[in-house]
Amino acid sequence: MNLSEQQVEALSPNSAAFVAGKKLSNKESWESFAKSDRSLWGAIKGSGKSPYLTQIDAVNIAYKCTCPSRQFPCKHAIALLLLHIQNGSMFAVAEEPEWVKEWVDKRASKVEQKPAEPKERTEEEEEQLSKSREKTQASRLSGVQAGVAELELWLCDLVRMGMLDLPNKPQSEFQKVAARMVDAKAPGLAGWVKAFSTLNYGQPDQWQPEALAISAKLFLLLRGLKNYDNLTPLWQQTLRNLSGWSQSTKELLANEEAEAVKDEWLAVGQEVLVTDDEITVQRNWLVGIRTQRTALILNFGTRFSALENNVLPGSVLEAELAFFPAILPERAVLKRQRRVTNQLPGKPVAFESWLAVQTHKVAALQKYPWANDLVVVLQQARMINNDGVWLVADALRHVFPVVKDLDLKKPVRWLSITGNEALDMALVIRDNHVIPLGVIKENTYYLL
Amino acid sequence: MSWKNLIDIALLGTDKKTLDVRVLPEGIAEFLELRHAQSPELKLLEAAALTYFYETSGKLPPKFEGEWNDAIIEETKAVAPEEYLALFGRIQLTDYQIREKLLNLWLDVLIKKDQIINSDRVTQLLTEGSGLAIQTKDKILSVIGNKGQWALSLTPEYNYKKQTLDLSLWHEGTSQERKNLFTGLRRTDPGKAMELLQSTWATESIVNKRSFLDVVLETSSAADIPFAEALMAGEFAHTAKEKKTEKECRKLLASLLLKYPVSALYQTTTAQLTPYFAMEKKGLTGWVSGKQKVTLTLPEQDDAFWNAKHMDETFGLDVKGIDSAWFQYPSLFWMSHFLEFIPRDFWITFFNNNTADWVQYFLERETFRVTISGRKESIYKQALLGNLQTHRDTTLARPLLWDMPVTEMLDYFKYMHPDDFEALIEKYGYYGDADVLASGPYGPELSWTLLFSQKVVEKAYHQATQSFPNAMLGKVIAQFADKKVHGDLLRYHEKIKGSNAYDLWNRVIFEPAHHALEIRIRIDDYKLNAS
Repeated sequence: MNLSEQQVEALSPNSAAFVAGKKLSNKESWESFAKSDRSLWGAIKGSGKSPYLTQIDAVNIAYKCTCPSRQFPCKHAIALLLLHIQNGSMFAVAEEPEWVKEWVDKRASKVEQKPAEPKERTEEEEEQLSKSREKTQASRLSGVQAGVAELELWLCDLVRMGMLDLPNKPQSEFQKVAARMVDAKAPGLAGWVKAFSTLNYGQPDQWQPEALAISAKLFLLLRGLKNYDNLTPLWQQTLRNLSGWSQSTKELLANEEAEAVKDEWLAVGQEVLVTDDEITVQRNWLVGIRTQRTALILNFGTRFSALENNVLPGSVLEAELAFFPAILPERAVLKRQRRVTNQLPGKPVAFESWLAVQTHKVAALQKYPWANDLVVVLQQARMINNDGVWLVADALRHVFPVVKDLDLKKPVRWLSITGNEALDMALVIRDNHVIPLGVIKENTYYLL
Repeated sequence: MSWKNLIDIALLGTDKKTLDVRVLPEGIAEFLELRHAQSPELKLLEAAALTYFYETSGKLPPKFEGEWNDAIIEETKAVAPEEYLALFGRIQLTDYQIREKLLNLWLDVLIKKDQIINSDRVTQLLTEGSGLAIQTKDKILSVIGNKGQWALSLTPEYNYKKQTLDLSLWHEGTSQERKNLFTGLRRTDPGKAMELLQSTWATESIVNKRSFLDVVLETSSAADIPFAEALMAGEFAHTAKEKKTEKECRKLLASLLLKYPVSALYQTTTAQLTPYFAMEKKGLTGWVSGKQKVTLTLPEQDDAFWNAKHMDETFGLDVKGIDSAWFQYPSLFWMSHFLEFIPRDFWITFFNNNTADWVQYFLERETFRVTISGRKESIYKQALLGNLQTHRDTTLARPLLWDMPVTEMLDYFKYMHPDDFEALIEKYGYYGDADVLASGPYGPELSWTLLFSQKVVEKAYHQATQSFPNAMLGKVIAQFADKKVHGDLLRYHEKIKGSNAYDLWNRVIFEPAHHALEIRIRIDDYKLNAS
């Protein structure tokens, strides 16, 4: 296990947990610690009589601790990881104690296990189940169609009366329309409505084209949903996803026909956002070194369920990913994972210029007009500060602006790591801006 | 242009402006022409959808037209070993009261060894230092290497620019801004400060002049004597119709001159004061030891020196507003001014060069004591404390502070010699008082002696086992204790394990002290041993 402190920070549930873990990441705090080729474990004095027993599955990143914390990983697991980073050589290689062996074995067998065979049903039962599903789907679709009709009317009213009035509209109007979409079981459409309420109305040059762009994309989606019955099953699935139907990871993993891709996946970056509903959404972008595929692994956390940190940004996962079916399949889940490393087995294929990236983007849009957050690796990229605006330039000096709310630490890290050397850079293209994620230097991936 | 046209229509509304599809790209226009039955708003939305993708697909990233810089920055200094650099992570975890001190120690070693940090840590270090003192920021600038410096030059948001004083404020700033600029310059470039002051002196208001003279007195050196003497002889020489502020300026200038034995005012004043000290051999032992008894007799009535006219005209001192409860006659009051500014060396000549005798005489002589609210007080205590502050006189600190209540001493401990400070703590047994311990005369490089540190740690242990230890004690130990006391700390930590007091000890004393001391040990180890 070869992680960096930055990666451990990324997998910590919050900064307080990371700091607490860091404080315990000294050998004096631990009564004992050791490792095997697949795990780390240790005993640490807590407030109780017996020490807490902390263990880490180093292959399929997972943590377990006997402490009562509901944070995941807890500060003890974070501390053990940090202790290993700082003093790896002090960890004796030992035989796993029973409490570690049992847990890691169980996890390993679970990972290797095929999903449970679906329960055998009679033809009659199958038919009944299928009818029931169709009925549920039809009922929901009819709700969504009602929402679509209502939203199209609202959008038409908006352009008829003129968008100049948008900045004067009360938030409650957007909230009301969004709530109607949720009632119509189309929360995805509610998101588009909310997008109008978050525009920067202080900047006319900014909000006016953005408002029309949102309207244009939303209109196309509404038209697609209206035309639902005439579309292929894959398009229907894609439109259901866009209108907010949840996708079942369990069903995906059980589906033998679902697309699965084995590769060494470089986790090029991560973004964590908390929604208005206090749901933590973690986006992990991955690039397949061999297959050149890109993937998005989403993790969610709420007040009642901790975020599952199964992807370490900057690491390479030797794993099989299962992709949710879609016109442009991007969202995936970890199906099988063999190991995690920080060693790059090779360089991911990179686009030679922004023009090549644009061609790639157009191809994606042609296939799927709502394609966004495209992950690319750009050759010989540089960051440039042009009168306070940060740009990413390619070797031909074409430039793309970075997102407006970019954390200043990213360009400073780029500048200090590269010393202005043009290097392959992983980026996400979001709307008309880019988010720099990391650079590859001397066969090492540096997160920005 | 077509996307712009669509935005214009969408903003105004299709009720006010209709779409002419002919302004759209040919393919889109043809497609829309065929869809006659649509309402104007649907037509606009459809046109917008098609045009949006048309525009997005055809929009190529622009070429950078600015100045292209592809020079690669190389490092010229060696990167310090990872083991040492990793200490920074531990420093970040320490309490904010200790953090900056530890960070400075860590940076000092890097600077001394002419080493830099690895580029991976640059952002962390810059972020950590962004709210710290300018001196700390300057040290950070020395260890981030060429790449870090370059990064910083392109990110002014980090506010690491060397703090340069804006000289234009002298001519354009408000009174407060000008005073701040002058104060800043007096500390960094006193010559430039005086040059600025003299360039506009003639046009300054009297209020401004007093304000600047206040700064001059506070930051004075012997180099200011010619300036002060010239003003005393000219502009602020007494006149019959002078303003109150002009008199105050004279007082500031006279105070400055009294601080320096080379000034003419010092020499004449001390010569005039000397006759008031009567010296006589002190009994038989006095004859044997050579010790003399001194008596200062200040006249109750005016004489050639102690009179309102002379005090006003020469020193800017007033006779009005004297608190008669403290000073029974004016000469007692005026004396306090001389005691505050004339340095110790003059006074002790009357006390066989014994500072303690001088202090004792002025603090305890019955003539110089009054009863205020039922308590006997020395009328010259404040003047002597003022002298301590004016001259930062460590020799004066010990006898003056030795018997004073601790609440009155806190602000003055910093002027004591460290040995005197430790002796004072020993005398009163203040080993467990974090406020007192933290007020001592210790800069970044100084720490308590080992013996003293051991006593503080022992006291902390006893406090933890017997009552509640001072909440700041662990942090004070972390900051000031001799690092060799770490062994004692670990020993007590083992001893207290299993007892009810463990958690309290661990949280309040051990954790903060242990981490910081260990960091200090490692910094020193690297400083001394590694190449």
